[in-house]
Amino acid sequence: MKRSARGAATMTRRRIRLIKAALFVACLLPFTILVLGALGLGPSLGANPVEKIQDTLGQWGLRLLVITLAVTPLRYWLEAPWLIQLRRMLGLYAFFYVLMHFLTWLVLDQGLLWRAVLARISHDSTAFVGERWTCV
Amino acid sequence: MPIRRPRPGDCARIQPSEITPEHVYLDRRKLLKATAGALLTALGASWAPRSRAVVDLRYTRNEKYSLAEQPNAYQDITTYNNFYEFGVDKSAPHENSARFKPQPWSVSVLGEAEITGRFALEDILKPHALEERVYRLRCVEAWSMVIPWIGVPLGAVLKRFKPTSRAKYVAFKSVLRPEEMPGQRFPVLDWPYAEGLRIDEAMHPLSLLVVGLYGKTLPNQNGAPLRLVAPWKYGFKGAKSIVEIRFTEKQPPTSWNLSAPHEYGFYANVNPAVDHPRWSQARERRIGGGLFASRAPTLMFNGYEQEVAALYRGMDLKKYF
Repeated sequence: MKRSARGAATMTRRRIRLIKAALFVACLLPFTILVLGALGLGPSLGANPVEKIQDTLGQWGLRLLVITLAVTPLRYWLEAPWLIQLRRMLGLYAFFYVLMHFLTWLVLDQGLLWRAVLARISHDSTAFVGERWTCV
Repeated sequence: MPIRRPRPGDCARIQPSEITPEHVYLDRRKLLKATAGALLTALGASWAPRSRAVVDLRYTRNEKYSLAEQPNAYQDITTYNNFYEFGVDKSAPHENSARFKPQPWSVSVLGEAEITGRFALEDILKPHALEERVYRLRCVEAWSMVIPWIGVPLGAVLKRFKPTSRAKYVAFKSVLRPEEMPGQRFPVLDWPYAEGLRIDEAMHPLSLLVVGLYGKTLPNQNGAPLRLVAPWKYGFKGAKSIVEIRFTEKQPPTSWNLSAPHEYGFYANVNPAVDHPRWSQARERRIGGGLFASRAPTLMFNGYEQEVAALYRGMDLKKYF
């Protein structure tokens, strides 16, 4: 009984590859839209482009982190073990977005002004939580 | 309870007033057309993108109080700002303010003054000449703009109400209209928004009662039809859509101070040496600089130190932030 249910959820290699390719493109979309916006080819980044980029990257980093952490419980609930094959890509994307968020802050926002950066970090720990997330 | 089913002959109960007059009946197609037309017009009006009816103002420029710097673009000033009554995002005021009706408008003047009451906005403004002043605006969130406001000196307006010697502070209250201001449907702040100044701050020549922007009346999202601008203070001190001015003897409660007293003081003077608990106030991002512009150093009292420093002589600005 259990075996047949799992059998139904088993994916062929080809199908997994397709799903992975689609996921790769989907996860890259928010970043692509930002890059296009910065080049003036996509939706405008508004009056404060640095803030917009930093916020968008940080939010997607958090979203992807939550999705990555949800993969393990989901594969049990849905009895879909193949989901585990997507987890590494999702995790790497979460890291990518968080890293880009941090680099945006460091390079575009703080302008690599190390004195200000170190002062900010030593001042208290909210820099790591994100100012906007603790804001009302 | 007896249930009465309709019976033949019931139609005789029809009142003469219910009968459609013959000429209307014969013209029923015209009536239908007119109704449909009116409906469409009403629909069109409610969906019309914006009632952004800003009109030109007559004013003279006050060079003494105008920066030589190039002001920010109208587009940036009107699409990126904080006005929590319309939502907490900085695009929300622009997006959600189309239904707000800034006219007609009246302001109640109350408290420690000889002349109090409720006055039409036009009557309050009538004796004063409008002037343009290009001011710096520094938001407590560490971004800034340069804005050409149109307004009248606050002090000149306040004096006409003859504040008594007990008037030590001036409190401002913004309008409460949750039906027109979607942000007020959420308890983000204790609505209506309240702000205040010490009387000497309010009488300072830099304090401006603003009615316009870029030569036109204020757009809804920037605080139409009447707002306060005190350029040496963080932007949130500038109460928007003001409906009440009250002279008080005691320091009035202010919205952000009530909400987070350790983060926002009553004075809220721009001060690069006193950080916000969650971020530095030493440098600011000038809007309009683009992607690669670096932050600029924040100036003491937002660059108005010469004019206003005397107001705070002897005060510990770390304590009275």
